[in-house]
Amino acid sequence: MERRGPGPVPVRMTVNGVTYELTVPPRRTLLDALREDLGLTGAKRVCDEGTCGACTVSLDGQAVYSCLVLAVECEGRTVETVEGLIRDGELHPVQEAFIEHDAAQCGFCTPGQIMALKALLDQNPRASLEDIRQTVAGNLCRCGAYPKIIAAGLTAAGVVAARAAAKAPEDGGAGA
Amino acid sequence: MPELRKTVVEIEGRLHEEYVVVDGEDLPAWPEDRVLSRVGQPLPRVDARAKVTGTARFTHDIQLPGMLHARILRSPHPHARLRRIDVSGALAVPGVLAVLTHENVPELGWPGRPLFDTVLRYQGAEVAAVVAVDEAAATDALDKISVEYEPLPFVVDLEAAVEPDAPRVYPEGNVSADEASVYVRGDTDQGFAEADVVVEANFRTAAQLHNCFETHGSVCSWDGGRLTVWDSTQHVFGVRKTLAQAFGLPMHDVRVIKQFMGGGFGSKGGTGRYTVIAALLARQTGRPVKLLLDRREENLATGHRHNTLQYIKLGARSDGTLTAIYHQVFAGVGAWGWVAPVGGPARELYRCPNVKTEEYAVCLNLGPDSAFRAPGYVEGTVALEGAMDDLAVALGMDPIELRLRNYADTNQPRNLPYSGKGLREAYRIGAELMGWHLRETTGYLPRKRTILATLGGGGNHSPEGEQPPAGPGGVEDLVCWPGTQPEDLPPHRRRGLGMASQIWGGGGGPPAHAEVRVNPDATVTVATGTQDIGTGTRTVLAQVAAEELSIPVEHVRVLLGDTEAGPYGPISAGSLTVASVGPAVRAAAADARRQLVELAASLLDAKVEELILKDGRVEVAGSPERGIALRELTARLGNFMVTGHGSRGPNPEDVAVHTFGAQFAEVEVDLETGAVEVTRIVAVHDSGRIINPLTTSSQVEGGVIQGLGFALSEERAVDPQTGRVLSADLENYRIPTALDVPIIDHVMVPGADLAANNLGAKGVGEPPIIPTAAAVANAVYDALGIRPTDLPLTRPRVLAAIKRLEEAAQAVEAGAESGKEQAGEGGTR
Amino acid sequence: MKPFAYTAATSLDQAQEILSEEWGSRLYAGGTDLLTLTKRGTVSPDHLVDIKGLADFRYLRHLTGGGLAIGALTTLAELEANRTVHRRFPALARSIAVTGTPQLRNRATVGGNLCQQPRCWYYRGDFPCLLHGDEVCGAAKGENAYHALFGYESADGNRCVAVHPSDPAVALSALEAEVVVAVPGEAPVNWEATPIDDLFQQPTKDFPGTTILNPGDVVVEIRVPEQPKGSRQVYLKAMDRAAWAFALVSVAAVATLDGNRLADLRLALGGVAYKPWRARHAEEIARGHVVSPELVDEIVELAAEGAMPLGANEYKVPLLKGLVRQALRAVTDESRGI
Ligand SMILES: Cc1cc2nc3c(=O)[nH]c(=O)nc-3n(C[C@H](O)[C@H](O)[C@H](O)COP(=O)(O)OP(=O)(O)OC[C@H]3O[C@@H](n4cnc5c(N)ncnc54)[C@H](O)[C@@H]3O)c2cc1C
Ligand code: FES
Ligand code: FES
Repeated sequence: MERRGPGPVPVRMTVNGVTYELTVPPRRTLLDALREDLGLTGAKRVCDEGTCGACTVSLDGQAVYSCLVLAVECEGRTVETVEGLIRDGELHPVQEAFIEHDAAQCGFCTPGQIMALKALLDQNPRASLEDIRQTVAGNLCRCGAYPKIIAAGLTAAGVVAARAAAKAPEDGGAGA
Repeated sequence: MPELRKTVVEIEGRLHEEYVVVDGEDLPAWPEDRVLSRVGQPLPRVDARAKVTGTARFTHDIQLPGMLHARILRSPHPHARLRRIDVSGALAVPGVLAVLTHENVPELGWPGRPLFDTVLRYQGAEVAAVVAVDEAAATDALDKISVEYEPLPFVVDLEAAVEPDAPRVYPEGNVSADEASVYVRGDTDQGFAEADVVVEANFRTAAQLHNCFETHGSVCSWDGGRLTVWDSTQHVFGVRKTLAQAFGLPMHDVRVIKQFMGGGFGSKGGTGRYTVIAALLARQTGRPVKLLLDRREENLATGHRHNTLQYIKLGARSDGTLTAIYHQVFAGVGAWGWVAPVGGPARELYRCPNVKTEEYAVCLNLGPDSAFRAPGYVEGTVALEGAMDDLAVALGMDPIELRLRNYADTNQPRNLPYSGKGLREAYRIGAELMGWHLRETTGYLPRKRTILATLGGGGNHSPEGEQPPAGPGGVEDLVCWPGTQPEDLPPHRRRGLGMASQIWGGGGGPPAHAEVRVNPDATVTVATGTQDIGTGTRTVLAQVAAEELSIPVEHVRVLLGDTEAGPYGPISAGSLTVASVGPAVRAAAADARRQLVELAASLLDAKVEELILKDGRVEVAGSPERGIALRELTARLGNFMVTGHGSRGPNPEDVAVHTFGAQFAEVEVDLETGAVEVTRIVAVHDSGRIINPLTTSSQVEGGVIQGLGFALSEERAVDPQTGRVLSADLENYRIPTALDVPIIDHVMVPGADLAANNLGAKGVGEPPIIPTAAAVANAVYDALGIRPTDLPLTRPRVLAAIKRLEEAAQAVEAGAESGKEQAGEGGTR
Repeated sequence: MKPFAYTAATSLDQAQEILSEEWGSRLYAGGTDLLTLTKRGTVSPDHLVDIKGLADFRYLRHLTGGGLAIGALTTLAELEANRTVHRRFPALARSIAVTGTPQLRNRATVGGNLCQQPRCWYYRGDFPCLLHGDEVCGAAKGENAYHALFGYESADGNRCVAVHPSDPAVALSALEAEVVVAVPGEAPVNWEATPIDDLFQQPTKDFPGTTILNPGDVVVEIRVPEQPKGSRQVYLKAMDRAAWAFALVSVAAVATLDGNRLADLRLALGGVAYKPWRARHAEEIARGHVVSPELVDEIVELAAEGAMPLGANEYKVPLLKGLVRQALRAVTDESRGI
């Protein structure tokens, strides 16, 4: 690859299923590109240096702090933010569980919490309580909603596991 | 006829007098046995969906066409004189529109200190502001401003600042005796003379930084002569008032909006200097301006819970009855600020005829302080409840028994009975849930402990006011041998139980107003100028309106957080929102209901007194066939809204309204590594009627967790050489993670406070943070046998305490070997 | 952040060429350290050379003889998920599990982890610091609760007293790992493996890095040798809170027991020096001796031998002793645990 920048350069990335071509300087973080250039303000900027988790998004299926990713690095990659979780008006089980358990107080850390848990459940539909605790440990919450975030994580894990179990025989049948 | 009355309102532990317009009788509170179907239900938040989908718009998320971005240049020095400033470099940065400094800032009616001062009294003081087309350009430009500072001597250490020859923040000195808050009840000298036992102790607590997740910030936009401000604030009407004053505008030309806020915890109660700066820059450029603080600025310049040095002394008779309390407090307020009521618990919590508290503000070259969730009471409870445990040890009494012995049925400073006080019940429930009796049977702590030794403590710190009687050399710490430990613990771990009590206001009061609009489709809009700061206000107010109107909560929408959405609402602070705005909403809903019933009466040809409104229908009591669905009734009126008005009535005059509670902590201390692990917290609080148990439990857990941070890890660190803050970030300022949270069991003492207001409800926002640190410290005392006096309980402090413990044990062993009899009666080992 | 150019390197050669020739260019891997430094202005690169895309350096391979070769671009999350690492190198697995958070481990590379800069709050803030080019170290006489006990030589302010922040490095040191460094212009056959402890240097005013690497040098592989049969390993980390914090003190212990005799013991300490600090004297004393309370006491005392507290980090001495004691308990007494 060529040297790019320091001025604005074009970057193509797919965000929540839509491919965008942005023009950003290399110093622009993925977080700022999402918030400022794409108007996707779900991910929040709290610390801007990997110490809070509020900016968590999924990059090619992995939870990352978008404040510690440069937008230019995302050339050709797939990003998912909290705004992309609704499918046909239906919330993701993690979102549903957050509502049910009152896992959002002020709500500022919430999109990051949800994206971290969602990435966990995508990778491991049978996540345990300990997996959930370790995941939430990567997202601070100043309001102290932790007990309810963990409870929501467990509820969502139950839903995801049940769906995976319900789907498994079907898939197996189709494959055979 | 409306009539003007004076009433007493308590906010953040301080009493204020308010005038209130009273028009007719307030509603009586729903009686205790009334079955309520919306109020009291654990409903999810009405705005939860917006929060989990990322559509909730916080101030940070506001984007307006043509919006510019501003940043503030702040003093790198704790104390300096601004000699010269050159902004030409900044103006040359592409995209920069303007730079504001003390040299060109326009005259304003702003009541605060100068926006840009030439004497800078803390690191983080405003020096200049840049506005540019984007944040990056504004930030780049900050580096291009050249400033010449003349550094001045500074003081950042609380203990150093009280010394007479310390560098001065202001020429007048750092401690102002004039502004000290001194309270005296009875005669403490006499009280101590009457005491059989006297204990005394010094305590230190660290400055706690709010670290609201959403940093302070505003977006300001001018439309002709009108100013609209999106602000991350706890008080939209307060900001409106100050901005109108600052810019000389009629109040109706200022609109302040705050729909969602990422935490405030007390730090967002005032009008920000950044808000005024953003509004100025927006006026100057003719474009909307967004000014958000970054994390460092947040931690340098937006407030903190002041650090304290406290000396406390208790006198009691041998049966435990308190005869005197003396509590002296030095609070590091920063460059300016207030001393929160650290002496509050000492004045109020226990029955005691002779009490003296002294609270001194100590100025430091650090950012100004601000309220932080139960300001003062968190710090003061650490000292009072720590000393109470000392007293319990000295008397060989159970800590709860001692507290019950001194139970106060009246608010002594005001000489009024409490409207309701469930503290006794909280002790009982909490003790049972925690298994407090295990303290005795399994030997957590023998009732009477052997006092191994007394060690000299730190010197006292009293430049004026009463000298603590211990004299130079200071207070002696008791070192006790803890009892046998539970068998399931390895020998290098010690377990301890501790508890502490909570008293706080939270009764709210006027003024607070609301409007309830019943739409033609019988949906309801509640409009009030309060705000939801993440506590669940929208939800709770919807429940109150739904209850009064007997409609589903889903049919209610609450408009708030906007000075143009509804009538005046107070600041969201002091745990007063539910108890202030809730009753106003109920009154407004009742007013709407009355009108609906009157309209139905004419339609149904019935008498108003015969009609009831129930489950969405108005009908004649006893003959449901003579009724009309609410929806039908409102539809008949055409496109018309029935509008009810309500306001919060005056506070009762013959009782004092307070919240109470008790928390219990179980800890394990690792003697080898100094790790303190809190394994369980039991929190029992009495806040009257609970409108929503789900959001209440969130408040309790959140308060406990912030309290754990204060107890264990949160501490502002300052470099003594440069006077700059080392921990202005979330790496070095350590708030609890999910893995730091123990099991938290919580219970609300059942029952409504019928005298408090028409809901019977009191606040729950602040009480849960109050006793946590004290309970944890007392549990560590129980585990180690040595009282922790300095919070937070980080490794250096705990390991130092363990070292002293070991030294004491060695001293005793050495004594025993040399054949001397040691360590009196009752000690188990 | 100052503006910078960015290159996604397509070969190691290309990256090394830029890095060794272009002043102001900087190697960029997971970016979790470099971006935080750049945002604070502690470093101001003009050009980031991103090597993350070089798939050739992202692998886990078994070495003949039983060890493990780890490509330097392997992420900590990949290592954490690897079963061989869990089974055969539990100290390493544990050190990674307590490094940062899942999100950080998804991005952070093991090479970057070793080459990260100190977390010293003087260095990363607007404070006097040798590594900023100032004349004195602010921490030497300042708030040094998180600073070194060993190896800094002098607390007169002329020496950096920061500690190396890496957890995995401590485990790797106790496992006697080696690192392979690619030097610009050298053919891969000439790349040398050096013991991990020799990778680190005490940062100085002129060479503010934590490693001995020159511009263009790239850590390409970490080799963890097979451990003696029946060896037991542990990694213990003391933090200010339960997660997401750097070690106040950490201990990696690898012990080989022959009955109740300690055939071999390796003890590496973290959070106490500019590199993982091997308690060599304690290791020697332990070797060949029967485990006894007296021996444990002796090892514990020797582990702290030569500690030079700076003031506010006095507490690290008992902490280190306590952790070593617990580590010994864990590796010598199966029934007891920590
Ligand atoms: C909030 C936070 C908490 C953290 N907690 C911990 C913790 O508890 N324990 C811990 O060990 N670490 C911790 N870290 C540090 C983290 O593990 C490192 O930042 C990470 O491992 C660095 O890897 P990277 O690939 O992101 O490196 P980069 O940031 O890309 O690079 C770091 C440095 O190493 C150089 N470099 C990178 N790769 C190589 C290579 N192959 N050869 C030569 N030089 C190279 C770069 O030029 C740069 O100077 C934490 C970091 C943060 C932000
Ligand atoms: S904003 Fe990215 S981790 Fe805090
Ligand atoms: S809900 Fe407020 S920070 Fe988590």
